Amino acid sequence: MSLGFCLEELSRHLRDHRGPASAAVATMALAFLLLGLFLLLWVNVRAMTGQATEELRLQVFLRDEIEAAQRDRVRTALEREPAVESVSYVSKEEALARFTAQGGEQAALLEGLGTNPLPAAFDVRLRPDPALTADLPALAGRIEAEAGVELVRYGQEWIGRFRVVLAFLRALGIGVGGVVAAAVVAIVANTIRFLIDARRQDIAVLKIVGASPGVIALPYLLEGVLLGAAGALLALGGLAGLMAWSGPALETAGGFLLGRGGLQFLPPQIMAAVLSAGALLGAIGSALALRRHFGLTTAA
Amino acid sequence: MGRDRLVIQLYHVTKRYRRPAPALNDVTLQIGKGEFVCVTGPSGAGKTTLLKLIFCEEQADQGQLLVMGRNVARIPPRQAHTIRRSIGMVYQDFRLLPARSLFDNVLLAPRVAGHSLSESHQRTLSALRLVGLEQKRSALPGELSAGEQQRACIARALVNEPPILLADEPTGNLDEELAWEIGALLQKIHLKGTTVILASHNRGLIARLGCRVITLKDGGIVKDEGGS
Repeated sequence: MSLGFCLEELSRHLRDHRGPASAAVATMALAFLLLGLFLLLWVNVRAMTGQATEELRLQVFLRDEIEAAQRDRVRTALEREPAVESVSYVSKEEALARFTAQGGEQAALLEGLGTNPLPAAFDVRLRPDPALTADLPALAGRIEAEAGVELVRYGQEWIGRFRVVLAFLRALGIGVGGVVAAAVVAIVANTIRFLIDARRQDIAVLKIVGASPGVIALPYLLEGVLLGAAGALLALGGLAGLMAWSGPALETAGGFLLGRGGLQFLPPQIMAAVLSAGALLGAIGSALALRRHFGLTTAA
Repeated sequence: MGRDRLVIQLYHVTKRYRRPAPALNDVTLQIGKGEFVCVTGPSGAGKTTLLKLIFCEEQADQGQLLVMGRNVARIPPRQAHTIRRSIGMVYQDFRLLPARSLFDNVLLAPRVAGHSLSESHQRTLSALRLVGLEQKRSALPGELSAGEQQRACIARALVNEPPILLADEPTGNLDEELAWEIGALLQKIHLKGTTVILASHNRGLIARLGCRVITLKDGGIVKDEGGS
């Protein structure tokens, strides 16, 4: 098969039918823009969760009667956990000193008791990786099961809320992604079908001069890939423009939520995935049109 | 004639369409390498069907059809192009692409066959020179006379130097003088060693060509004369 010839035909296709090709790219770009907006939302909520996790600590309160060997076992168990970055021991005395240093009415009450009711604890710092800290309740459960451990505390409530939002966005993203994928395949298939119709005469002549089904089909397949990728690229460009335009206003309005990093754009690997998806869906759309139109199982 | 010298062999070939009468009915014939054969007969006799079967545009319902020793009946449709590359085809309605220049129309064939761009350019120029259209290579088909368009069609059919040339009523749209011009061109091509099969109902042209004449009627051969 002559790739050079197929590329020549492809450039002729694009030159001769700029109108329908541009319309298809613009429509696909709108579909990808919708998907891109969801991805942008997901990326930023995920970043917010990651930042919150970075500041997340686990407090492991120990029983008063805990033996030194048991305490060491708890420390070892904590250090073995992949999500744990560092473990520091806070004795009863240190806990009391910290509490007293904070002052307030409760500190005065403690002084009145005469004994130290505060337990010793391990102050655990977690790694800033949402994937590692995804199952914090299970980690807490494992540590709580260790002998000598009274209670494990972490920010259960808001971590749970973030996870629910992320799960919701993920499910919505999958739904939107599915609709966008179907739309892109349909748009490309219809465009290629139109182009095949417009070039029936060319295809007939190619058959007369001995073109194989592959030589006839390849330019259309490449065209689908190109249109799909162009739609995705245009959408990414549009998304970047939209963010540049509305980003400062959004950061002002919701800066306290966005945290240190501010509004984030799609990371390179997600942009590459969107582009590849555009190309792949374009190829699928083209293949469907080619199959439906002239079968490619028949030579005539 | 030895079988190795036969380029086209039909044995009891039948082809039916939706009509009750077959378009070709139990046809057996052989055409040798380098022959000039005219297939004639009234409209609906089966001339075009015969050429379509040889060119793999259609498949026979019954019988065996060998082109260059390959049994066309056993070639899957996806591989039909491998047979078509050894055959040049000329149609009555030219089938040139109106948006491409004459040069680009002819250039398609060598490019499709996988020749490099420079080789394809050389072949295209030679083919246009052979049919006398070298000077009009930049013209669009619509800017040419019917005779010139037919010559361009012949150039496209010959550019890959196929051993067989099929011409389906190539003079049907031309006046007598232009018809003879095309006939003379086909003779010239035949003299270079190409097997030429011309389907035509132009009796005057056929008589002037002085070649083997196969007459078809109602899908069957009624006369085969003038062969070597």
